Amino acid sequence: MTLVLDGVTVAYDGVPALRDASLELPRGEVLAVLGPSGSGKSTLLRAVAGLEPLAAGTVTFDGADLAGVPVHRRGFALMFQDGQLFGHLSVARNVAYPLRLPGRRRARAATRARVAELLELVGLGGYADRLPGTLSGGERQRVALARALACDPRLLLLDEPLSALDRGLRERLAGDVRRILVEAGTTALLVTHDVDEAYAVADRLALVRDAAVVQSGTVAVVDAAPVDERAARQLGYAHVLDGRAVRRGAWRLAPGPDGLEGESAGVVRTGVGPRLRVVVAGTGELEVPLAGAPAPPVGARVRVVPDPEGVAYL
Amino acid sequence: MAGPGRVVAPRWPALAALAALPLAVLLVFFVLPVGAMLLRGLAPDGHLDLGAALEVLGRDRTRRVLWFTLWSAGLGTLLALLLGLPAAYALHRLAFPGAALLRALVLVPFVLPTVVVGAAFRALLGEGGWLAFLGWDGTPAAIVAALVFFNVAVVVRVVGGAWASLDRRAEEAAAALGASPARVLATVTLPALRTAITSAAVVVFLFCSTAFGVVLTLGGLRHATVETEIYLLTRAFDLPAAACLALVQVVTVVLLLLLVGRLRPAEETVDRAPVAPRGVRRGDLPALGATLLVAAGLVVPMAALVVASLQVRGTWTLGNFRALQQPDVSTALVVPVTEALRNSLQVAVDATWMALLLGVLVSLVVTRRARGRGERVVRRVLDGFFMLPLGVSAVVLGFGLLVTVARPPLALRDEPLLVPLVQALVALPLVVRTLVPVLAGIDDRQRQAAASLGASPARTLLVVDLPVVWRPLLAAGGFAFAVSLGEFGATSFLSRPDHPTLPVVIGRLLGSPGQVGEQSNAGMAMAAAVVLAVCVTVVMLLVERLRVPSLGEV
Repeated sequence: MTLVLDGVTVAYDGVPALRDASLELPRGEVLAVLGPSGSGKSTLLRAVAGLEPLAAGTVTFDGADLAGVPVHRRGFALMFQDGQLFGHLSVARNVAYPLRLPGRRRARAATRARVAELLELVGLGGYADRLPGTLSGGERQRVALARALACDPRLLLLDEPLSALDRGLRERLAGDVRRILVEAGTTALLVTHDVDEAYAVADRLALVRDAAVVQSGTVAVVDAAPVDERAARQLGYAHVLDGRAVRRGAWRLAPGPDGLEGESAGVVRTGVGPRLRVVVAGTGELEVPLAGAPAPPVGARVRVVPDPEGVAYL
Repeated sequence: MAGPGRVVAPRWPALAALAALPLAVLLVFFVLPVGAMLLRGLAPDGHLDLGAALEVLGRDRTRRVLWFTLWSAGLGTLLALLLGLPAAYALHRLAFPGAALLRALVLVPFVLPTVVVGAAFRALLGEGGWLAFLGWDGTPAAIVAALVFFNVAVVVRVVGGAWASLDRRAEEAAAALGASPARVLATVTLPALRTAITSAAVVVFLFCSTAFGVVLTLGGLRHATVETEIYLLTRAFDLPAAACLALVQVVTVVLLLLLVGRLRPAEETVDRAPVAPRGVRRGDLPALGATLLVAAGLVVPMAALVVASLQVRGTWTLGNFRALQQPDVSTALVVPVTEALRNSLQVAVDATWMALLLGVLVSLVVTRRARGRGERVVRRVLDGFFMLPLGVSAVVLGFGLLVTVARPPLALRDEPLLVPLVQALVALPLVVRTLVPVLAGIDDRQRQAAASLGASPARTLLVVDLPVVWRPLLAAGGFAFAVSLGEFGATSFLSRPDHPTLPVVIGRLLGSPGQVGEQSNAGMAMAAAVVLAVCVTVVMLLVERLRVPSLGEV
């Protein structure tokens, strides 16, 4: 295990923002810490970075306790939601920033080559002389990522790296980030409130709420077995009924007498095709993909069963 | 409705209506007198005579004066920055017990009357003072020390305001990338504060190079700056020389103000979310040390002043204060001090409402988002124009008024509102600079939202602008009041002899080193300075209670 948090507690003015958090992250993997805003997930990231003192517990990296190691000696890199590029420096100088620090300085040509390589990696070759103020949000995040990777961090810390972007860009960039991290073999800790972002980028998942880590493990394990109803909802499951969590739209019309009985409320068109709305007493309204089947008339009694692909067991 | 402009339709008439009054006032009571003063010197017989002016510049004494002004102001600026920057950091980024008190304390000298500071440094450095052994009394060192005393406050306010709202995460990102704290400071923090630091430096240099009361009380005739030299020359009726120096000063000031204007970004786009101060860490100790040094530097002269005011020949007494009530004790004292104080307060009340009225109009003119290029240019030119009183010598203004508005056909000399009006002009830049950042910070979409819901322009002002602006407005009023209470340069020319304000009384007492029996004029000056300082401090503490985030960039 590379990064290990053991019983980490952080308090602001005596009020704990993170309680007794324990996590493990093996080398080369990406861990997503998923939680709503104010849940303590950013505090967790800041504690790992060394920006917040620990009230209790330890953070170790490769077996070495990081207590007392200042931020700039940890060899981590930090990337924020809005990039936090240095506005007075060009894109190239932003990316070169860690390469020009004492101790890392190398030949000018080597620095330039490395910067070009990094900009190429994030798909921004030719942007070297632009100023951050002239870039779009997505471009800024790419530069921030290149800058963070420039110092070959032992651990990359990403604080909601894509949340400020619009949906289409976010989905595209999430895939890119995953590719870039895997290519670079970077160990990374990502903090986000967006479950799609977490799934797209991470190998492992930790669920945080009310200042505590409630569940952690590989994405597959956590996704298949949320610990409780709230965890399931955090993971994007829309319905929870008798021990099962079902994703929105993960239903089928049942041919036989199985499943839930409800009443057809007509067809809605959605971004992923037409859906039949079915009102089930006690559960609410479900969306059922029609998959080419004829729509039952409004008011008709229908039976639905969950699609096994969209079901998890608590 | 196209574009992000304001919703009110006719724009030019509205702009003209808002700008008319301040423009008229500034033209009659500022441009006219200053222009007349310059003209009188440069073209004494009606036609331009540059030879006389050039001759003045060639004089040995003039060169000495210019050189002294330059280096004393430069050194003062440098020291104010060196002390002010760490203090700005400690007072606006750190949370520690007493921080609020220190912030208020550092603010006080900003509006402390120059004559009070002059008196305080005399008390500290002069005969029998705590630091008399330094031998600084009457030397340039005393003048520079007093300039720094004043202007550390400017640095702390201007830079501290910017620092307080600087997003900490850029620094954190740099630290995480491996930059040491010193490196983060040099490569991230200071560049981000560059605009604020440069504006502060320019403004401090401006204040230092046009300082009047301090230099006059501490330097006397020996160490004159351009400002005091103009004063002495007008007193000696060498008008060409005075006008020539005034011209040099005006040109320098305009150039510096243009520089500040260029530094300010065209449209404020910086995110100004205040960042919560954090606890003190080990690395902050040098900054805290510098802050304590600043605090000591501010407290010690004032303490020396109080002590000196309470002593007559080494014994504790209230004699100095009692003597202030008896005009017959000293020839320098025309009226009892209570009457001078009443004059001062009366003038300050009038000056305050005038400064607020003009300041609000100017701020509205300057902050409304311009729609076209032409309009933007006009608004920026007006902005610069209304800042002129910031740097143009109060002495030039005072003397100019004396030879223009105070004479027929206007003959306003005995008009009781003349002195307040002039003081309002002196305070105007401060008022505008307090209001503009706040008004500019209001998202114009709020006004659009209000208008789209059916609010009239007046109603929009009431529901959108007023709730945000009323505190800064009160604070600006406080600043104007304090500035007026302490104004000395222009007032010393214009106040009627039988109707002096408190600073004028102090100036007179300090300027005439006499002794009547046990009672020295200097001792009475200290006592009067204490009275004035108490008044101003009370006003400033009230202002600080309003917690206006910052004075904005001057």
